[in-house]
Amino acid sequence: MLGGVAWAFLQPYRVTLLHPHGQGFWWLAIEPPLLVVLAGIVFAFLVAPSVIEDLETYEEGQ
Amino acid sequence: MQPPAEFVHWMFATGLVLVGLCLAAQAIVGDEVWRRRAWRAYLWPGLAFTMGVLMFPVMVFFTNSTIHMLAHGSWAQVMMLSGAAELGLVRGKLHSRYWRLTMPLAFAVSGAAFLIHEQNSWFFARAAFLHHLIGWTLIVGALFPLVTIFRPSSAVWRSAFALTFVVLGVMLYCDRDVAPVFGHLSPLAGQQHR
Repeated sequence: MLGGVAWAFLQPYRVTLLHPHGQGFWWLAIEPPLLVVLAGIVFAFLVAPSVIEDLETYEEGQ
Repeated sequence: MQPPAEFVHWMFATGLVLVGLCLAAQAIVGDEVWRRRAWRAYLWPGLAFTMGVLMFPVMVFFTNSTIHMLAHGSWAQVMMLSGAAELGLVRGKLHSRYWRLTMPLAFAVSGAAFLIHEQNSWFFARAAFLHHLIGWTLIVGALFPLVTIFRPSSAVWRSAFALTFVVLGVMLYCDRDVAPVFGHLSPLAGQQHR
């Protein structure tokens, strides 16, 4: 997630939402830095919490 | 409404990054913790299989030569094979660990397909450079899933395997339609876009 944010700061021209005039649907919807952030958000909110919960349960069981 | 090819590459790159994140988490916490929830055990093999299925429409709609189509077809098949083998192992339908050989096979076949179907030299254009780089990364990276079959508890080899997916994702994110690589762009490649 942080990688995507850092990328957006390093190459802001890749985030076409910042200068949307004249851009088509795909250039506005699919932007690599935002995709990296999206992958990070999906993992952080849908996968990681249950992994941490199970890891804590496992370690308590040990 | 059909997206340009680079967008499809970026969407697949996102899939690869997600698979890499799941594999990295599994390597860190171990199989026992990772497989405590059934949906999680199926997550990355299911993603790999789905990406293989989705590669078929890419093969049909986004290729402009026979060799290009064959390369995409081979990626689709080996991704589906390795994803399905892992799904079978997780489900308990398959028992032999040697089914995991499908993953290094997928890496080797995919790498060979990248190298064989790229007709231009490294610095012809960015796409050519990435084809060579991804091809050799896959060929060398095939070592990681191969070693993890025989050393399944090694966090180092498993992390390297996971990181290979993330690196491949980053390389795919670098793809542009017609773009230079380190300042090189052959006049035969066409007019630079973006």
